[in-house]
Amino acid sequence: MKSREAVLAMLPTVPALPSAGIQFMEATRNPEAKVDDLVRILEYDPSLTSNLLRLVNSPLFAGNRPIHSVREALIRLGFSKVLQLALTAAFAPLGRRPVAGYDLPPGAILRNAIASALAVRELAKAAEVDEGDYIFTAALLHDIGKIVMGAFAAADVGAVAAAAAERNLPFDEAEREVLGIDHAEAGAELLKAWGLPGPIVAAVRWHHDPDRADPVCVGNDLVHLADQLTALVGIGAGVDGLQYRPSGGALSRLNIGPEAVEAAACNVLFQLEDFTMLASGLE
Amino acid sequence: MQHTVGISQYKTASARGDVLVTYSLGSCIGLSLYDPEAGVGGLVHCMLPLSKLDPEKAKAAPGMFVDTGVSALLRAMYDQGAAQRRIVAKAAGAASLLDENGVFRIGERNHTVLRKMLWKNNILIAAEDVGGSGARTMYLHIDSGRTVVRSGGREWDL
Repeated sequence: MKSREAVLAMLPTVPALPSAGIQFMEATRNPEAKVDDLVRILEYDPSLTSNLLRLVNSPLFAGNRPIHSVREALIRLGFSKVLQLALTAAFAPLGRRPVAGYDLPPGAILRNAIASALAVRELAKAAEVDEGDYIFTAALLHDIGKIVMGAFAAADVGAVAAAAAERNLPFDEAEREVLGIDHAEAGAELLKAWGLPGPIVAAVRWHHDPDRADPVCVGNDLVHLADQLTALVGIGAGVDGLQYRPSGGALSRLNIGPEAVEAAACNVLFQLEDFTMLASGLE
Repeated sequence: MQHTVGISQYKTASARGDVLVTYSLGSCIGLSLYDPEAGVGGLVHCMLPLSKLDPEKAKAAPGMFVDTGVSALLRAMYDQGAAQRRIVAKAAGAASLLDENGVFRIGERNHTVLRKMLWKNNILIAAEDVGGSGARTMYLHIDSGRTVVRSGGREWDL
């Protein structure tokens, strides 16, 4: 169990998401939130603001008319979209790190994060489920535990990969066996330490095993399927590849078939290139 | 020069030093075609088996689907002077999740459609490395026609 403790001991050394991003998320959950307050929170962090403005001005969001300020972004795109983009901007510096143990080059985690976040949107649409902002955030951050284990705790992921290959074990199961903790739990513990809302922590915690969540919920199922989608397509795939077991219940709880996941994959791929190119330019 | 073939893309090359590469094939399938006499090679990275899922997207990105992707790559090869009877075809990818219940059979279906498409075009698969649960990277060296697969830190020739 030494590795588990070593991984958890590294949590405080991971640079937290800019606090403005987290405060903004809290503020948008308050139905009485005023535009002025939201503007102030974001503009307090100039680098987050400049990254956010770069994202909102992509053809994906702004259309032909440029957006010059946080206020204008909030009014034209709405709280929810701005929150999603602000969190993407906030995650970019961490998500761009290479994660050696998992064989993930610089940018691979971020690309996978963005693809997963776009995928939950598509899957929620297919399942006719209300896509809460927390699902988007959870999808964006779902593999943050790999950064903790690979880049900060320097866990022996090679031994995990060997165990997984030798006995054809799911990669998360091999992580638990070799290291005493899997990347889903490590990520959830990190987000808990950062004070993120419970539903986000839960969706990250159970993204490889949503059937075991208590309570089981569609948000977790969506994040799980988004993760499977990106693994199948090979977006940001590392040494773990497709070595995971799909949930038996997620598709039926969402009342969609595997073809909905395939159609979502097409839509994600079309949006992904623009978005990733944009995110790679963030400071 | 190395040219990257992204997901749903296809490319051909004929300069001697060129290498075509496609990264992290999951359940997607990569197909390399090579005509040793014309010195022309091509690589496609297809995500899903059949274009009927979304004909509009297939028009915009034929490489997205195996049926339209194989046809598009063959056409591009012929345009570059390749001849069908000389083409050497090799495939990699079509991995799957640890999916005992067979929920997502994308890799398997990609492979089946690929075989059908090549059979229809009178081309046999000379070598392939498909299935399993690892993500693969695939290289085609234009000077020699070597197709190399890399997965889990190892590399081998197809």
